[in-house]
Amino acid sequence: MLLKKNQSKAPVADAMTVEDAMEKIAHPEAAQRREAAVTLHGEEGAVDVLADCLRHEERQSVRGAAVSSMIAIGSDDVVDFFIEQLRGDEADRRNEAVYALQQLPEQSSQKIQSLLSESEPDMRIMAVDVIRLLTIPEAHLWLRALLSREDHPNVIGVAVDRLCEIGSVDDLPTLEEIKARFVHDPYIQFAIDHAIKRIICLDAEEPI
Amino acid sequence: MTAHHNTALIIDDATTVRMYHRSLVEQADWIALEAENGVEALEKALEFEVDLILVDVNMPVMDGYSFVKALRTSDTLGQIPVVMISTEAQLVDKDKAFAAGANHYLVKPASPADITHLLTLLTVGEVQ
Repeated sequence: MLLKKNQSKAPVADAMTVEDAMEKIAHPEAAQRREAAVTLHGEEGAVDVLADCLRHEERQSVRGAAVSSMIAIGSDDVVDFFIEQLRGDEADRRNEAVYALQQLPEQSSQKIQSLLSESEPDMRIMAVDVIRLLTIPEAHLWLRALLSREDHPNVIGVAVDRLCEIGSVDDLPTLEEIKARFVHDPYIQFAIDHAIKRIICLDAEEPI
Repeated sequence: MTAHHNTALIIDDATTVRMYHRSLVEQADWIALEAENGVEALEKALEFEVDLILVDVNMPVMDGYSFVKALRTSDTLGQIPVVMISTEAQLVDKDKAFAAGANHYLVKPASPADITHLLTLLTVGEVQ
């Protein structure tokens, strides 16, 4: 039998089983926790233990593996967990949740749309952040609907920024209406002027 | 001999916000650099001389708090003044910004007067 140089003849350690991983996700050693998180990739019965891990885990390597495993599961429970994380105080965890929800466009889109109507402006901003990279055709209509009823300047700011990329000339009346409503807000005036200019240029297929 | 211009590094994942802050910075006769997240910003800060950093909180890849903490551990970049600009207006958010190492905190949308006032103070060395 041909052996490659340095090939070990020692037996390979058995891979961790799903059952083991469910316990070792709370192991004191980070390497064991990470391996457990990887082992639970796509395991539908592991949502609760992975979610619990993500509520407490500090090591980025373990968190990354757990997030990937949760995305691979992609159930309603997973989407609900990441929406819960959007409401948290930690910026890095919110960003992790935004990323995860963006990887699950089919599963998360309806729930993200409902977040656009939440009473808390920060949640509406988070919802627009998720929509930023959601490749769903309705996103453009959701943003237009949001802008037509929105009063908070920061929500309008992020929605206009997103509309710059996916808007059409059909959005121009909405943008003009907001510009008139926020005549004393220099940032919104700037953002709307830029959005209108960009949408017109994109419509004419001219470089801005 | 060419005149020295101060340089501000603007970090925000929203293109429109970066353009807006750039316009204010350039009106004050500063040079503006842009980055979309904390990692890109650290690379820019290592590559160019930077006199002030304007940084958002919520960004993909590396958020504003993590960026400032990383910056403060650097021997070469650790002294650069940082202004955190966020949509979050609670006192706890300001406390977190200062705990991470920010020098100043502004709530979005920052007014042109706020930004130009800071740039003026920094130009004459009154902030830090």
